[in-house]
Formats: sequence, structure tokens, C-alpha cells
Amino acid sequence: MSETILKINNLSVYYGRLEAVHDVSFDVKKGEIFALIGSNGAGKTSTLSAIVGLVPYRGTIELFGEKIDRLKAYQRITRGLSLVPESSATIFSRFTVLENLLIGSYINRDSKKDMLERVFSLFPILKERANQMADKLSGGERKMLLIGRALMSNPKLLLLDEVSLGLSPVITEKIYEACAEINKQGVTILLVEQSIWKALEKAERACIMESGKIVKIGTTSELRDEELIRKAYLGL
Amino acid sequence: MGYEEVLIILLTELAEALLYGCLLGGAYAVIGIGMSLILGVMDVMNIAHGEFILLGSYLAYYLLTTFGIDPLLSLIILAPTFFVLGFLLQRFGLSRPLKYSVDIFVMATLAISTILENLYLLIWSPLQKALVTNYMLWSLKLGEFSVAFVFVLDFFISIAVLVFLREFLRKTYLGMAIRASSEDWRMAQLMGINTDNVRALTFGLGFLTAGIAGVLIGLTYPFSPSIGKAYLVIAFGVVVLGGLGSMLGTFVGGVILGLVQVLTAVFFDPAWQLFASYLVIFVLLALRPRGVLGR
Amino acid sequence: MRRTKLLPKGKNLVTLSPLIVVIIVLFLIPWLGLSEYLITFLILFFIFLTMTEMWNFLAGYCGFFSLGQGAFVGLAGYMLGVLTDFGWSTYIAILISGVVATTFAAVVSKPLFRIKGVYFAVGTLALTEMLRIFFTSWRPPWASPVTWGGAGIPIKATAYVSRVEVYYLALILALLSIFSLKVVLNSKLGLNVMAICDDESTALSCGIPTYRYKLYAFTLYAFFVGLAGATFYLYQGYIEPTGGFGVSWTLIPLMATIIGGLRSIDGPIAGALIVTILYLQLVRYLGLSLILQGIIVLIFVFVAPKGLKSIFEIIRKHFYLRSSKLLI
Repeated sequence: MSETILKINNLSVYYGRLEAVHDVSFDVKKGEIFALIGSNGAGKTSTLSAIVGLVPYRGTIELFGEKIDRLKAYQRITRGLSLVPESSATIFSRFTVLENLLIGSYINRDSKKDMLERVFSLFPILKERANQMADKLSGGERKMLLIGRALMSNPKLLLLDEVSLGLSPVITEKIYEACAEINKQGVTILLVEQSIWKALEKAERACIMESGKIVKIGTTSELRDEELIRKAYLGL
Repeated sequence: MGYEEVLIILLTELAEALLYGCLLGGAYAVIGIGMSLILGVMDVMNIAHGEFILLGSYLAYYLLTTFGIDPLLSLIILAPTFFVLGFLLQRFGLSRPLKYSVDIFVMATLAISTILENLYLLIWSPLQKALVTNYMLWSLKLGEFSVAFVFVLDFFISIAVLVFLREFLRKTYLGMAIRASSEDWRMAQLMGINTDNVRALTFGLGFLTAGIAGVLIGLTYPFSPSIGKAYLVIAFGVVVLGGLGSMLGTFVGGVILGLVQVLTAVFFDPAWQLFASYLVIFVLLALRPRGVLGR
Repeated sequence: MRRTKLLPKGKNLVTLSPLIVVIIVLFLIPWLGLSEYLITFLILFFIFLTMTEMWNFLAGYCGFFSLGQGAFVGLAGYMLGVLTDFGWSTYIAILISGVVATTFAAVVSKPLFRIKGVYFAVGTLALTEMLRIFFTSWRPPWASPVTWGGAGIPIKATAYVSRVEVYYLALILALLSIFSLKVVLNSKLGLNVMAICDDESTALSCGIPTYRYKLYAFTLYAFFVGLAGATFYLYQGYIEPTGGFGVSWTLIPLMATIIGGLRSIDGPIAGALIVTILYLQLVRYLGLSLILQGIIVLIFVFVAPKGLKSIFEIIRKHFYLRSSKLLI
């Protein structure tokens, strides 16, 4: 019923001769939370890198009905895409927290005030630490900064790469709550997760990847009911 | 003469030398800042940097001798021209070698450096030239000392350039884009920053500062085509001594080199002044390759 | 203890015989009564070849992009001049000049190896400039009023050595340099250095003493470059600071490498051949010649950064495709 905003068709990503992603296809619909599940090396991050345009790939990607394969990474951002990378080292450590956020609104600087307010209401701690150097933040705060920075460009599709990695359960819950709030505000979320529990809990639809291929795709309730999934992943 | 008198003369000379060294250091900082920016954002050195500086000197010379335009005034024309030239050169010329590999880029800039140096030789001959103006001979009185006006001019223009750059890099979106690209060009792209343009912009700034440095130095010392290499080494020294990414560091690096040079000229032998600077660079490299103020 | 492999797999004396014939012919050339011009050409070719092989070794296999070849050439040249001035025998003087260049390399390796990549390149250039200034300004106590400083010094040995002797010297030098490179690249030293070049921190964690191997590679390079430089100045008869420590000594192997291709042993042969031709043709144009050399490098950088071989590859692929279409 809702429109498809992201269409991945026969995506393959090669690093030299190593095939990280093989012939992967799926859709993400407007307003939903879609999870990409798989263990390490399954090809999830490579898929995100391809969507965002940081690695070369084969196949086609359509964003809001437009084929974006010829666009460079910085051009795709202007189409309403934003990525929160897995590593907290991707904050700009020589900038302050505020500067990190401001650079996030590089393409829509006119609305930076509104965007800042939005980010501060989601993550009040960032407002407190606004003038501190970004590298002084703790792990959880850095993740919040990364998400906040990604939000500053007012994306319609947010890609989240393993937001819970390396964080305590309390902080992880906080971050997922913020994500739910962001989704309520109308942002579609494509989320990458290693933990199938979390993914099935938070997302509406998901696909499971193994060794670069999709093994299962469907709504989370469908997946929960699947015999195989229950046996293999949930130990039931 | 009593010891006291000798001491006073020595101290006066020392004080003057220190003053001149600092003033010259300002100009050296401008020589180095272009290279520091390019190195920070693009992770390469432009071997032709010295020859770009000389281009500033020679073009100012041409405008002065042919049209009688004062070098400082000619900066108004030269500065934007240099910026645009640098931007275009990188955007449509050097970006291809750079994408291929750093070594190839270095080869390309080495070739450009050789071409320019020999062009200067052909057009203007190996004889030394200077930007001769009537304020060249002025001196200012600073308490007990009198200082050559051009050195003071160098210093203040240099400070102005450095401060302008610092504010630009800190406060403007473009400046932040440059800093972001310098730190992590992948993430910068994910902010929507066109890193190709940023590289071109940085190169343009490098060329611009080189041109300004060329005019400043041309007013202060005579120049000839072979000095290009010396400027390159000085820029290199400023970056090594001052570290990357710090305006203050670049300034300190410039002042150190300026001081070494002037002190050597005054207390040892002017023929060896550059050599002394180089020696200091190498000794410091051997001890502290990360730069005096660190990165 | 591994035996070093001199002959690549599949090659035996039969396949190598054309090479052996060529070498024999090269040795016989002075006796064939051919033109003086050819001898001069070959002398320069061998010298440039040695320098290119060594530069390529350092840049292509070891990852050290040296812009300061002039340092070792000039140093060796000056050493030759000074020693023969004091009456030392020519060949011993040449050998010692090589050793001096090597020692200098060893000494400056300490600060130089701390800086990587582009810094290293400019560092070597700075070093060369330092030497140039030094030899322009310094006058040794025994200097006569008309020598040293910017005017340079004569090489007394040139008067006592015939062109043919220089020819054999250059030829043997070139052969020795290629031979030692082949030995080194197949040996423990070579493999270690290439490993360091690829990824230094990994090499370190494998227990490879990186500094030592880099030092060996660098001094080998300096030794042969020094010898080649001394041979050149033996041929030329005088040396002065601007030429001796000039950028040409870097441009020549650089051009030859970009034409012949990085990281190969026979690439430099083709490259050096072309460079020598250009050098001799352009020498009368002086300033213009360097501009032309620069332009040629730029053209290659844009069109064929992998060297002429890549152009041949493209042409070959093009024809292969077309001919295979005809076959269908």
C-alpha cells in the first residue's frame, strides 16, 4: 500500500575477486523500519556502502524512483539519503560537537536552526556538550552525535549501520527509542543488525543475509513464525 | 672599546636580527601555509610550489616594469587570478593524476616545476630581479631600532593572510568542508560535500597564498629562477616544523626558519643562510618528525 | 640456505643466447670501427640505464620515491674530481666516490626514513639543494682562485682516460647493476624489502627489521648511482654545482621509468634508450630541452601512466577484438 522509496535490484559488490554481496534484491517502503540482518561478513555493510555510493557495484539502485547508480556519494546525499556508519571513529574529532552537527547540514544550511532543535530534543546530552571537542565524548554519546549529524541534512531515508555495537543495553535502548521517534517523524529507516532478536523487535520488515546472499525476506511476524529461523537463530 | 660597549653592540645586533627573523618568519609562514593546506586535504605535496611563488614575483615584476603598477596594488589583480588558475588547474588538470596515484601526481608537479623554472630562465634570464619600489628603502623607528619598512609590511600582510585563512576555515561552511575533507574525505562526502571541488578549492587557495608570498618576498629579496627550489624546501620546512592543521604551528615554523636564516646571515656568513635553515630542518626531522606543535 | 635463482623458470642457456650475443656484441663495439657518435650514445645510454634501474628499484619495488638523485651523482662527481686532483688512480677514485655516496646515504637515512611518501620525496630534494648550496659556497683550503664555488672543478682524470675505457666502464657498470638487481630481488633482502614496501607495519609485526632492510636497499641504490655519476663526470671532464646537483638527475630516470613502466627490469631499458636519444637531440636547445622533457613527462602522465607497455596493451586488445570478430 505504501510506495517503495528504495529498490535494490541484483546488487553485487566485489572487492577485487572477493564477492561480498551476490545478486541481492529487496525493497524498502516509505515510512517503515526495515532491517538487514546477518552475522559478520554477511555483506550488510557492503550493501549499505553500495547504496550510499562509496564502493563500486553491479546492479541497479533506485531511490524515490530515480536510478542513482551514476551519482557520486555526495550527490546521493542531496537526494534525501543519510548514513550513520558503524564506527564511532567517523566523527570529526577536530571539530566540536556543534561543528559536527553543523557540517551535517552542509546541504541545507538555511534550516540548520530547525534541524539543531530537532536533534537536541532527541538527544539533550548533545546540547549540553555542544561546545566540547567531539573526541571527548563517550561511546554512546558519539553514536548519538553520529545519528544527530546524519539527521541534520533532513533525510527521508536513514541508513543505520549496527547502532548498538559496543554499547551497553541501557544506552542501546535509548538510541533505539530515539530511532523510533525519528521514524514517527516520517523518516524511513534501513537498519543493519547482527542481533536477530533486536531486529525482529524493532523493525517491521526484514531480510536475512548470509555470505552475501539473501536467505529470507518478509515482515518480521512472518519471519518469527518461520520454522527455520526459530531453530537456527532463536534456538527454539 | 670597553667590554660594555662591545656587549651593547652585540646585543643590539642580536635584537635586530631577532626582529628581522620574526618579520621574515611571517612571510615564510605564508609560503608554508599553501603547502600545509594542500597536504592536509589532498595528502600530496605540490613540487611546483616554489615555482608558483616565483610566478607571483615575476608577474608582479612584469606589471611593475611594463605598466608601472605597484606590486601591492597588482596583488588585487593577481590574487583572484591565481586563485582561479589554481582551482582550474586542479579541477581539470591534476585531478586525474591524483586519482591514479600519489606518485604520478608528484611526477606531474615535478614536470610542471621544471617547465616553469626553465620558462622563467628563457623569458627573464638567470639574472636576479627585484621588485623595486620607493618604499623599499624606507625604515621605521621602533624605539632604539630602525627596521626596514618592507619587513614590517611582510609581517603584517602575512598575519592578515593567516588570520583570514583561520577565520575562513573555522567559521564558513566552505572552510569547514575543507577541514572535514582533510580529516576524513569519505565522511565528508557523506555530508554532501563535493570533495572534487574541495580539492580544487584548496589548490586554488594554495596557489593564491603562493602568489601573495611571491610578491612579498619579491619586495624583500632579489629573486631568480633557481630560487624556486629553495622556496619549496622552506615550505617543506615550515610544514615539518610547525605540523599540519595548525595556523599557529605554521606561524611558529616560519618564525623559526626566519630566525635561523637571519641569525646565520648576521653572525656567520650570508652565503650560508639557506644552508643553515636546511640543516635545522633535517636535524629536527631526525629528532621530531611530527612537527614542533604536533598534528 | 636458499639458492638464489638467477634464471627465471623456463629459461635456459638456449633461450638466453640472444641476450648473450647482444652482450658480446656490445663488448666488441669499440673494435668494429663504428662512429664516435655511437660510442658516446652508448656511454650515456649505459649511465642513464644504471641510474634508471636503480631509481626504479627504489621507487617501484621499495616504494621510495627519490627526487634527490642529484645528491649522490654530484657528490660522487666532486669526490672524483678531488681525488684525481690529488693524484689518486682513476679507478680507485671512482670506487671511492661510490663508497662516499653510499656513506652519505647511510648517514641521511636516519632522518629520511622517518618521513613517508611525499615527505620523503621532498626531503631528498631538500638534501640535494643543501649539497648544491654547500658546493657553491664552500671553498676548500687548496682551491685555486678560478676553481670551486659556482664555477665548479675540472676532473683531471678525464685527460688520462680514453673514450673506449669510459665505454667499457659504463657497460660493465650497467651490466653489474642489472645483475645485482636480479640477485637482490630474488633474495631474502629483495623479498623483505618488497614486503616492507607493501605494508610496513605488517612487516614489522612479522619480525622483519624494517630499518635495516630499507638501509640496505637505499645504500645499494646510492652506490650504483654514485658510480654512474662518477662515470658520467669522468666522461664530461668537469663538474659544477648546478648541473651536478640538478633536477635533471631525477628527471632522467623518472622519464625513462614513466616510459618504460614502473616495477620492471626491462622497462628501464626501453625508457633509457628513448631518454638518451632525446637527451642527445635536445642538448643543443639547452633551456628548451628541459621544458620539452617536462612536457613529455606530462603527456605520459596523462596518457599512459603505466608506460609504453600500457599503450601496446590497449592497441593489442583493440586488434585482438577486431580480429576475433572477423573469425566468427
